[in-house]
Amino acid sequence: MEKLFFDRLLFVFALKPILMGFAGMAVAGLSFPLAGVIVLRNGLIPLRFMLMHGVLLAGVLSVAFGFPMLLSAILINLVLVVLIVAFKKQARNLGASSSAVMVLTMAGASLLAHALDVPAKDTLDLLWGSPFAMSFSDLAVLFAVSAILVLYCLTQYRKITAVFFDSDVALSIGVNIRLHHIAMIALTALVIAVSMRIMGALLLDSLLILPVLSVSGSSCSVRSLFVRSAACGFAISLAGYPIAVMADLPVSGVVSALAVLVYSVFRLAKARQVAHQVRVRR
Amino acid sequence: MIESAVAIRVRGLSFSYGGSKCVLSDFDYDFLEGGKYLITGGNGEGKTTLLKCIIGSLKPQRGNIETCGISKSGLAYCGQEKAKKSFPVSVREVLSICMRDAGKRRARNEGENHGDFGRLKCFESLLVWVEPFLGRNFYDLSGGEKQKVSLLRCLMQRPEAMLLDEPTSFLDSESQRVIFSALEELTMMPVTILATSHDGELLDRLTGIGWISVRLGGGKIVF
Repeated sequence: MEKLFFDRLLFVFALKPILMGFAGMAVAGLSFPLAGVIVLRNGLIPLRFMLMHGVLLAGVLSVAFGFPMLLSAILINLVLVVLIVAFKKQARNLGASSSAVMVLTMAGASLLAHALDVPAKDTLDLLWGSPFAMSFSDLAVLFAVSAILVLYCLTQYRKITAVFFDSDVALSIGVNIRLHHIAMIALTALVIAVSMRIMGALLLDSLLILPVLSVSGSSCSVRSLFVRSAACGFAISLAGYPIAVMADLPVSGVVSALAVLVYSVFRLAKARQVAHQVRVRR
Repeated sequence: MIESAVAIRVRGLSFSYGGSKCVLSDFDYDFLEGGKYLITGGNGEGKTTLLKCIIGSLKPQRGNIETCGISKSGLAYCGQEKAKKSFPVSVREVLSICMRDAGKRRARNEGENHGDFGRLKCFESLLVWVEPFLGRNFYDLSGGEKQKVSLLRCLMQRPEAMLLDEPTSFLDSESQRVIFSALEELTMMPVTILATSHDGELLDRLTGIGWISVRLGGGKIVF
């Protein structure tokens, strides 16, 4: 029975789309939570929505004019980033301006879809991207974006910590905080464009936000938050993908359910720990 | 008579928040190299605003600030306690962000690399004190502990100028004593210090050891 299971596992993973999807999920699971740390620390949740809608606009343009989808998504998101930082002195807490640009993006997508006769369903399908449908170039772009993200976090760790800690302190020691905020939201834009196209909206949140939220209560430093979030995302991807493949279930659904389960376990453990500390103090 | 060079030159500085009344209005002052200044004044009189303009966090509507001869990372800033953040940052990380060549050094065992600051008694005692806290989340510390870590962070930066915003506010008497004795010891150092406070006791004690009191009112210096 066991042998049969492993034989089937090996057979399935020998298939190219499955293997490429697995590689993509592993890399995304390891690196995307780093962007999640940046999103959560800088209050970029509304910006994340704006960028997700930017991908929809890119979808309309791509369907209407036959542009390559991934490239369109990356370009549109980078244009949105440029637009938003041009109007804001500090590229953080961009709630109001992100919401305004998000509505503008949706309006643009709706008007263009109407004018260019683009079926709404085709563009909405983008929200349900699949790791099995990854092409070699998609995978290469995913690897490149992940590598840039990891390199940025590794090489700029001290400056990132300073910006996270206190922007006034960072300024006083000569850190260019505007440049770092722009770099952070540009990286977020890249991650969202790539992951929306390759994995879909559901997986994006499972790998970007939930691993960070899961481990934030048990981390005492920026470094441990980065490392634990990446480890958590990696573990969720690594476990969820084979389960989905072997059980013939959608990867996004399984990985997301697993991410929520992991988050609940961490929260429960934290609540128990706090309750224990209260009891000990009494 | 030997004249001290200017460390921070402020000329015609005007600042208002969102177009409301000017917090600082045509403010002129020369903070001399190695000088120790206690900037006093009531709430909303521009003490914090002045420091934030100096570090570049706030852009004044008019006027300019020159940090003469102070290098890019030579300004050490210790701000007021902000609301508790849920995001973790360890004490070790807080200390290392301001250390020059921090990656190559550790927070401890490097007294010789801190220049004159390494010889300060307060520096040594803060280093010993902080040892057990290094792995802890900065935001889990008490107000006094955070302030001591912030002061140590400033000293580890080997600054040419220190900007301390309300260094003794909301602290218990023990923490106040530690901060005060550190300021007292720093009086002997060639570093320029600008500290804001509306603590009358601190004003009396620091002016008693030679600190210059600069009182702000109506956006200008009140004589």
